[in-house]
Amino acid sequence: MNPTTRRGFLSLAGAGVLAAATGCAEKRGPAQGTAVAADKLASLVPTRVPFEIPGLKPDLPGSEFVAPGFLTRPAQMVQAVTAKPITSGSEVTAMTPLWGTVPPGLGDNSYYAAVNERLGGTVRFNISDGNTYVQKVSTLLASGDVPEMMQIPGWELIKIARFTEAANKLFADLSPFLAGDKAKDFPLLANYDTAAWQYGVFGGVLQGIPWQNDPFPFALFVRQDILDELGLPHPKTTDDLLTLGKELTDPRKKRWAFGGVDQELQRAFGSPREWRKTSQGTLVHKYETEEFAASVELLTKLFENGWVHPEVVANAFADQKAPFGSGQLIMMKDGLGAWHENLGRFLPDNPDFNQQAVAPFAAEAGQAPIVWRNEPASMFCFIKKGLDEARTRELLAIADWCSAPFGTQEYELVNNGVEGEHYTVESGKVEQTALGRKEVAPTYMFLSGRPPVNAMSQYEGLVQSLWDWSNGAAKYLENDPFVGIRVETPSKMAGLVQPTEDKLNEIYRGKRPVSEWKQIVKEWQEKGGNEAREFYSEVARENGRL
Amino acid sequence: MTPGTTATVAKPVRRGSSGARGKPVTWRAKLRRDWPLLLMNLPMLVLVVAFWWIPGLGNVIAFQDYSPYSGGILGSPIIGFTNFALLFQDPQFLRAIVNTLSITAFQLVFYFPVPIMLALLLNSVVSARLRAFVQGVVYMPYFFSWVLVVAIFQQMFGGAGLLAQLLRERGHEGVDWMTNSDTFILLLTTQTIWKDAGWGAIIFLAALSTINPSLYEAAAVDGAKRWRRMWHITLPGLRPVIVLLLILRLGDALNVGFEQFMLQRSAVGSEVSEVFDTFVYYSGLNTGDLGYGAAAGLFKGLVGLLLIIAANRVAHAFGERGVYSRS
Amino acid sequence: MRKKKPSGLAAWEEPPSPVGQAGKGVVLAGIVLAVLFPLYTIVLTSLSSKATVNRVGGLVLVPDGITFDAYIQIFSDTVVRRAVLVATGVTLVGTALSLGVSILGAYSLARPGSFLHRPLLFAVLLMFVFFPGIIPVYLMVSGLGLKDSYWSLILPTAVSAFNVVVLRAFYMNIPGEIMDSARIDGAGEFRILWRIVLPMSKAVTAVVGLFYAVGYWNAWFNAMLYLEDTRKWPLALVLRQYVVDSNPLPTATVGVTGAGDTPPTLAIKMAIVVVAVVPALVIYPFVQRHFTKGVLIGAVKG
Repeated sequence: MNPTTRRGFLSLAGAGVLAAATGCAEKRGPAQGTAVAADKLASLVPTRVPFEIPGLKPDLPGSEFVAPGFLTRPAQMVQAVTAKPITSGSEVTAMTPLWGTVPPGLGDNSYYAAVNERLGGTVRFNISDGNTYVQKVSTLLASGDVPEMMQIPGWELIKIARFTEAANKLFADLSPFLAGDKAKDFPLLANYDTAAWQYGVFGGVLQGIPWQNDPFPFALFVRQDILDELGLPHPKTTDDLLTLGKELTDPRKKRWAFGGVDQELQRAFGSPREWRKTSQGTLVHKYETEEFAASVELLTKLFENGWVHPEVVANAFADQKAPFGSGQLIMMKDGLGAWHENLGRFLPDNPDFNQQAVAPFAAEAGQAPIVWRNEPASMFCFIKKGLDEARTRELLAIADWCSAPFGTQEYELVNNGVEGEHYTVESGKVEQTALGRKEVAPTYMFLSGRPPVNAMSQYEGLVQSLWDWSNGAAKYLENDPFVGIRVETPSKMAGLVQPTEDKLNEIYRGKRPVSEWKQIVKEWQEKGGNEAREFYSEVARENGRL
Repeated sequence: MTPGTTATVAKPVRRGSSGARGKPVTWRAKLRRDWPLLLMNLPMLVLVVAFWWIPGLGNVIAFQDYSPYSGGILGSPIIGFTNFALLFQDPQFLRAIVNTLSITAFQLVFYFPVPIMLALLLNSVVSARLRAFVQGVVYMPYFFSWVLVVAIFQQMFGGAGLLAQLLRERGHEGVDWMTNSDTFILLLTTQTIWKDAGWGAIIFLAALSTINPSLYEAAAVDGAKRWRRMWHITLPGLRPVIVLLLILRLGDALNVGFEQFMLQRSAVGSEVSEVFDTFVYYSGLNTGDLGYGAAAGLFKGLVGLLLIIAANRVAHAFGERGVYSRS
Repeated sequence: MRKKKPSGLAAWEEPPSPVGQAGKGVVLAGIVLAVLFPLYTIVLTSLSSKATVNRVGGLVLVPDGITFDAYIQIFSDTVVRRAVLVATGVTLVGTALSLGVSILGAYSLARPGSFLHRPLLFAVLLMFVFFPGIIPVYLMVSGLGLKDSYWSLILPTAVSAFNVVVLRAFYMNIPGEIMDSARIDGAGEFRILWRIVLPMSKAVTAVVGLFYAVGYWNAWFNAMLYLEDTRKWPLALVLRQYVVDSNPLPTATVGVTGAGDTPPTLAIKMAIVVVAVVPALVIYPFVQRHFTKGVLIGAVKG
């Protein structure tokens, strides 16, 4: 009735406030994915102009997916850039992550001094702990407080919510400087593979200077010396893994056959890396495939039989390199860079240490295996938005200079420092000096990228083995429906990755039955997988891929 | 008259609200009388306001659909309690709460008394040298990071660890305590005891040192033996500190840790290792929704507050002052 | 005159029973072993050569080739040496500031009924309950111009509500009569605090001071967030960089050469752990003096 009494009116008002306060308002929801069609993409990125280094010819020729191999170190390094990039004289602020020991700061560091001298100005690095980098980056982005140049690894920026929004708001659009032929001003940036540049597009805007990846995401590595000792061959089928597991594992000798091999198994069974086009013209996700389910079954068996190293059992992210180096673990999957890293780490104390990569194999004998394509780029360097044109050009010039490829003086300076001070060359091998170990840290190199090169000639046989393996693998690269299109994953789907992977890890370790996998896939579909499929299908259709 | 004692709750001087002759003291008079206290409070107040309360206002995003890039605090729409409603609809959240509370309860019974017992044990050691040595040794693990502690436990009790090796050498099956989800709470508590009990004992040792020894002497003269002295003097002497810490611990009930759980999540499965802070972390990753995270934080604070108030009331009922008093 | 019994017992204490002694001994031995054994492996690993560590593939149990290489490498690192200075400075200044502010604050809150007592008390108590997010604090620090300053390592965390509450509890336990009589004698609050309360609360001051000091010494988060110049990094942050292992570049690319190539071995990581524990080991005896048995809280005439 009429709330004429004070009490009545107040209660009505109160009810109104309560309703407003508890009302379930609609929320915006997680970030949608973005996609840029192939043709549009082409207009945003530089036209590739390979940079020729006079006199530099690889011993093992490169091809589209195989990095050129150098069996010996070139005697002479060419100067790639003659003009000094920094002309304004004002200091450049740059933020990069660091995994490793901290170098002395500006003023105490002759490496910085040397590089700055070649650059024609000062770059002041704000070095941040790599392990907590995502926290610092999220905070800076949310506060709108970014330095002039900022490198962010790809695996971190997917953890940052609404990164694309942040990037569009805070970082400069590089297309006006680099699209198409404009990149001629920056020849070393134009040297990058186009696919890598395409990956630097966020929300339809070219923003990131990409760090180009190896074409292959991982390989299965083995302790060849131990296999030889026991007279065991490389696996050629997935069943071979069962035999190897049994033969290799001996807890009394503190030896287990496997470290982390999940993705290798998925690949071997023929699961797609992410999406695959079906014969019906639809998209299927890896989780939904029979092949993936088969890999889950086999991997669970490996765990069940106790063939997986206990530390990996206890922690899916445990450090596998240390047990691998001490022979406690014989087979593991890792990125290609781990090959030379391990050699550097273990060979000096164990001359028998022999790491080889297994040629990609399929589930059954006679089947053609598939090899996954890697993401074209894994780290990006961004430039602050709102700087004037001259300054932005200057910063791009710095990135250009740092991108000098193998065989140039700039490359040597960025990666190794000054010859004689930070490193010496003994019979074609680069030896870091104590000063080099102290002062040279990955800093300038993070402001750039370059096509990969296979040149670790200091490790006997590595260059050849890697080249052979790459050639073998390149034959089987699977065609991804989204090659050449820049798609950013919708956050809902990205958000499902961790919980699903967690559950997978639990299945492997016997905490959930294998039979539950079907249910988990269904949940994935309902919670966002189907939605994602619609999005990706849309993108594929628009690009004539479906 | 008994000498100053901590065996009973000493009554602090009440700044009466009634002055001489029972007249209510005006706030002006109080100000005139207490301004030195206000002055003393000022530095702390300034720091707390600047670095806690003003930034704390940022929690308003719990009621918003917040995006730092398109709107900020002032521009993001207000959505009332939606974030909270969403929290409660998330089964993982409820799982996390159940786990967190059961771990807190378990540790309250099996961890909380350990530093106290340790302090009593150390206190009863006769040789000063031995006491100093043990004290010094036992608090060292506090300085180890959880990464190291879990790694050590892995080395001792994991499938490739010392214990497993020893068993295998004697012909038994190896064991792996680190991946056993049924005994996870026990493992957790053992780790926490190993890492923190020594350090936790320090505050009790300090409290023990404030107990007037003449009380012991008097009791001994009266014929009380060790255990009776402990029961009648030591423990009551520790009571205020124990109650204080207990209440504060309850206020922290939804805080059982983060790193310790993240490190062992895949070993025992998220079913048993999902706790409040890991849930907030993962849901933060999934949606990246800072408002959602803030809502979870406020929820945690509210639960903590209610527990503190309740526990404080109970403390009062037992004659203890607790963290704060009605007076 | 107290008769001094040689074994450190007070005059009125009975000698311990042999069974009691044995029992205590067993328990103590167990505790000490439980801590010392892992510690032994840590120290041993820190003194082991890279070859041994690689061979064992984990913490070393049996000595084999002792070397101080790890420690030499850490201490010859000028960055580490500087970081020690930074950490020492921050710890000294921070602890002094925190203790000072906390003691004053706790004392001012130890008087129920004083002007604004309740709101001021709750301003501290509620710190246990509601937390500001990282971003608002960052904005405050940045807004105050403290970015990349040593003060950003001290001010934001200078006040620990826990420590303040503990101090306050101890202060409130001091009998009111003592302070009343001082007040009647004309002493002001500052005098009372300085002359009466503080001398009577040495134990708790020592403990809170220790808590703050350890907090500052081990703190790395603020440094990670606010500092831009690596020369200002405190020890805790520098040492973390050595203990990297959980996240190297996942698709570590083939062409990367340079310093980051061989990650620090377990020996160095363990040496760092040892280095981190040592300062506390050194300081603790000084602090511990204040809680030896029987320290009187102060002369109180009966």
